[in-house]
Amino acid sequence: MNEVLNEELLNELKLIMEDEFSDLMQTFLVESEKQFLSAQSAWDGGDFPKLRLSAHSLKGSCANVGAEQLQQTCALLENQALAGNGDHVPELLARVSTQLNDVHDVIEQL
Amino acid sequence: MISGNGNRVLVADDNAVDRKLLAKIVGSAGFEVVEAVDGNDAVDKFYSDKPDLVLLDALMPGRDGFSVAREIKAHDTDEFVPIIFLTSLTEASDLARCVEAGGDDFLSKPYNQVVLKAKLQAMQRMRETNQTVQLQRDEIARHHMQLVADQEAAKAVFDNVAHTRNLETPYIKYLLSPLAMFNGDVLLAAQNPANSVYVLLGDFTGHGLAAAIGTMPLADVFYSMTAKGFTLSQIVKECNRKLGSVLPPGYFCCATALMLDFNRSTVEVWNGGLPSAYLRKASSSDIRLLASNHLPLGISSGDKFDDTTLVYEVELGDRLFLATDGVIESRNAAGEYFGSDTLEDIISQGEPYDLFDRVQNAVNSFVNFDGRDDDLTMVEITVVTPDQVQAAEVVGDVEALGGPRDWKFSYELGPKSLKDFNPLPLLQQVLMGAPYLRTKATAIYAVLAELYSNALEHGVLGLRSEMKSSAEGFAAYYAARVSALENVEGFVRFDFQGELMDEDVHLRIRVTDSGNGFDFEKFVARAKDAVDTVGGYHGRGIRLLWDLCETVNYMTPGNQIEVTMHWNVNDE
Repeated sequence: MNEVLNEELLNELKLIMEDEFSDLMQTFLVESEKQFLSAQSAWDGGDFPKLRLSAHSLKGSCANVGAEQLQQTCALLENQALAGNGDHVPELLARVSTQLNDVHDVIEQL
Repeated sequence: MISGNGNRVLVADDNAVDRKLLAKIVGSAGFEVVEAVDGNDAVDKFYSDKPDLVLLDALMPGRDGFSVAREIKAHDTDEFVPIIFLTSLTEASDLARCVEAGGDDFLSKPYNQVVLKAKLQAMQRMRETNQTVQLQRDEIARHHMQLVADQEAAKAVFDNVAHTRNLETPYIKYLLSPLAMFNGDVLLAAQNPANSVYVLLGDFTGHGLAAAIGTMPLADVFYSMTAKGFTLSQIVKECNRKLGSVLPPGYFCCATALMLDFNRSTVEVWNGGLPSAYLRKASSSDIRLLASNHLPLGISSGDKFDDTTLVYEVELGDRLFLATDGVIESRNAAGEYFGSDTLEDIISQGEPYDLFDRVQNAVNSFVNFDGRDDDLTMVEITVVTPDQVQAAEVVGDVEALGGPRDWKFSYELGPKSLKDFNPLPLLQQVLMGAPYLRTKATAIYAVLAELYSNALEHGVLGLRSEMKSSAEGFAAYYAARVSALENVEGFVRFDFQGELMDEDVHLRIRVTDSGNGFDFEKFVARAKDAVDTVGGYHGRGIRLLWDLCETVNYMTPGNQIEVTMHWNVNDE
């Protein structure tokens, strides 16, 4: 779990959110899925600005729940989109998809 | 933790996870939270919920945070609404954009609740400081408005009392700053019942309210006594007494007062402490200095006050120039004074008609500074023919047919009274008790003044009017008048008879003096033959009487004269 989610940050989140912690996590599951699909369809449509925004948004969500690896991948994706360089986008999107599944698995087991 | 108002926080973030987390942190810190899901929503909530602080995501779909920040900061309000940008942007240039758009601070993801709470508190303190500054600014503005309102009220009262209405005539030019009351300068003009013009230029010691306050009693005395027909001596004497009683010790008023009698072509001057006034002749470059020979008003006690005036003959087109010390004490960049020698040169050299403008231009170019006029107070009066002087205001709100309808009275002055008492204001006041005489107040006063000065000067004192045909003789005449009055013997008696029949007014005035009389038949014949030029003084008085009266008759041996005036109440 350490590799997928930062445990220390999660504990802090539990303290902050109190009984709304699981609600926040549910929101993450829904939102992150939406953001990934949005990024995927942006790429399919060749829309770099939308791809950048989706990657940026997902990156922010990951940062706040401690999904650090996914956050880094999102940052790479955002940079590619910002630069308008599509060379590594399919590869990065695939990695985001994998890592996102891992994060979801961990969260659902919490 | 946060009490009272000012604790509403707008959280604008399109990312639901971030927004929920922030809302929780902010809410648990004691703030009321308003959430916005994107840029447009943020602007709407800003206007509808009026938050006190905004947490703003930089990158949002639709309208981004930079645009939202610019709109919030451009919103016209005194309220300081801090904006904290929420960003995972880390490039220096991105952060700079946040500041340019109006951001006051940043918060990076992942959000740290300790850091966020500290920032919220810091912003709250900034807000409070800002509010205190605003309140103090508003209070200062209120005080300032109050002060201005007070000054305007004071100035309105001041302007009513020391009004400049009478200065707005073609033969008077003047400069008087609208704020003169605060530098102590005062300029007054008025007409007596015979349409002689009285002018008083004063310069109170000090500045500000203390300097302004003496103006009101001064103007009050000046206007009311002039209107009632008192002499210049009597007016300055009363001004001196009044100021002495109301001004604090050490405060006084340097002043020049003058009376221009356009009928007799004379100017009478009293100067106490002001720089010399000037009489510039129309026909030559001659100037006469009317120098101060008295203490300023408000210093001497009543019995020590010297009300002696000087009388000079004037001709058509002559100009009188008066200024406070602002003119000769003007300084240039090198610190040199303008000086009275320069002023004298300007007044004597060049044509009389643009004297006033020459002085003004010379002072302005000397000090080489626009707007200098604000501190200059100066006045020029041109000698004109009597008909160019607009008649003094006639009191028109009385029932013309009221009052006594048939009456007579006699009034006799003995030697002690003749010496220094002027009976004209008193007589005028009694006569004006008959309302139907008021429309002719000016003419009646002029006739009275002429009759009295003839009876006193030629009859009782035996002075010869021929003396006044030269400038030297003119001065000698008035000197002789003063010394003769010292030991005057005799009397002057007035006999008045008035009648209102139907709407016809008849007024008869007989004046008898204790003198030996004179060859009035020869005098009358010569005056009738004389070409009516304004230049000569001789015989002017009798022509004035002929103009104003229906009949003018001397009685043998010439120490008695009777005039009658007659008009219809409906006459103009």
